[in-house]
Amino acid sequence: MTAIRVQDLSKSFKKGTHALRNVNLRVAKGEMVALIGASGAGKSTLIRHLVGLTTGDAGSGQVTVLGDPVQENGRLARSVRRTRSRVGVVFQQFNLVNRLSLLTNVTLGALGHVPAWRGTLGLFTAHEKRRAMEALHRVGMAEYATQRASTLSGGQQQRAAIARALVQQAEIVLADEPIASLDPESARRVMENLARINREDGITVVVSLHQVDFATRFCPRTVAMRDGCVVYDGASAALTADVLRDLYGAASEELILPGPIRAAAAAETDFGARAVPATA
Amino acid sequence: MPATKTAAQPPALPPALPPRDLKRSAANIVGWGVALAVLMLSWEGADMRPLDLFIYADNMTRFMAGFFPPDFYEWPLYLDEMIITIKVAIWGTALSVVFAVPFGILSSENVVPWWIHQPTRRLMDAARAINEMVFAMLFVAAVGLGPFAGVLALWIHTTGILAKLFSEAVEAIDPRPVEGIRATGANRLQEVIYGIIPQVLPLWISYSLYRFESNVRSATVLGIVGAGGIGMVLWEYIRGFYYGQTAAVMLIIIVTVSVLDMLSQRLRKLVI
Repeated sequence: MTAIRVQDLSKSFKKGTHALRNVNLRVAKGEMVALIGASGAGKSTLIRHLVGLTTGDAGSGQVTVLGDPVQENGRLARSVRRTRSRVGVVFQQFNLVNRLSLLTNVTLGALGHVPAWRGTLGLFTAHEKRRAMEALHRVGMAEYATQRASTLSGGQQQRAAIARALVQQAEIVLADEPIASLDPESARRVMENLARINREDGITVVVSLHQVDFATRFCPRTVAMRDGCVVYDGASAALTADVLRDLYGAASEELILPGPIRAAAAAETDFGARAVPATA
Repeated sequence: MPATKTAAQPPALPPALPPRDLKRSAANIVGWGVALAVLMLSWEGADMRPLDLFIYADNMTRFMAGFFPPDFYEWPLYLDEMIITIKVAIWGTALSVVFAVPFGILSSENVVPWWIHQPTRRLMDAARAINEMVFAMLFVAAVGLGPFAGVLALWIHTTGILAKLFSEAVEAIDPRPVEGIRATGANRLQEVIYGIIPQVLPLWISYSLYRFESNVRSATVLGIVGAGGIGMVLWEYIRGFYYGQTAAVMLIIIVTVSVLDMLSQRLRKLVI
């Protein structure tokens, strides 16, 4: 079954820069795919197109998610809201609402599933709130449920954002640079959470990463981008430093972690059992 | 390894002053010239007669003396009317907050397309451009003398002001939480409720309290055109040359407005 299909998608911005050039991509259900590339390669732009937060150029190709069209020809499909409710998005800057509690933020993941009037009035059932608590528990954040999102560290907010995608009952999770602004330890925990929902819930995960080490460790398949084009699509294990140098030249250094951080990224530790104190 | 000099050499001569920027000095002179010219041109129209202040100094001293001592004999009446004035301000502000929320959101260019925010903004401009005294006169004609006309006048004028302030807050929000909400499949209204309003709420509350302060001040004069409250009493006394009573009413207004200003300032600090 195909989860995501992108055909001939192009996007150019006003100043004549091409963010995406004829991108073609197919992701099967249950896959965990890394999207790598230097800054400005088009990773974020591609992910934003997959849920229709941005539309491609007029006359360019189409995006289909879970069999439903998201956009075609630079126009959003009518059913885009319904499709979005089946896709969870995790952003680099977490995109939680700062002044709302973690529990409320996570419960809002259910907005796409409850009747519009109930979601608008904020009348969530006890069952829905309990599901939010369970999701927070799974990412190891249950004890912070009543705290405002703004009081938590980046890694903690990111895990709550994953919990929001779980409450959403997302069949696909798209993570846009989820670890780019986190320290190595938090980054590893976030990546483990993503790998776990992929493994245990069969959720398709597409995660854009800056560094290839996390890709080889957590994702069987990697799609590499440069200047808006897909330049590599295949097994992550085959992405050696030599291949990267072929793809990116001197810029490949940006994609490879320095030694000590790589060691931290690769370290085997217990999953999600310990809680990190808030804003240490 | 050769020794390297790391300390910078002190300059041989003290640096010279930067040359005077002729362009800027010229702009300065022109700026002052224009300001002076505007003042001169407005002299006649404004009927400026500063010498009269000295020529009629005697008159004015006698006039001022009339205000002393303030006559508080009828203070229960003044207090009643002052409380009515505050109640007018409370209702006028409350109604305008309720209406400014939708109008403010519909005037925000990051929420609605131009063909909605432009007409809404023009409508709010109109509500703001006309002073509340003018609205009060119109509403006195429409619904009769009394505080209700005052409430309606404050409501229209303040809605115009708050809608503009509210929409400026909305236009300054962080768009990322809104995208987070949108990505869950929420509809537009839900994006506003959960993505925008939590971000702007403290600012909105602060603006509303500030407008309440201003509305108490405005409400004290609405009575002059017949829209109820302490203004009505004040106007009767001024017209009847009862300066002792006028002074008493003015003192009550000053004390009330100052106390309310302080209270609302405290509240505003609490929410921000």
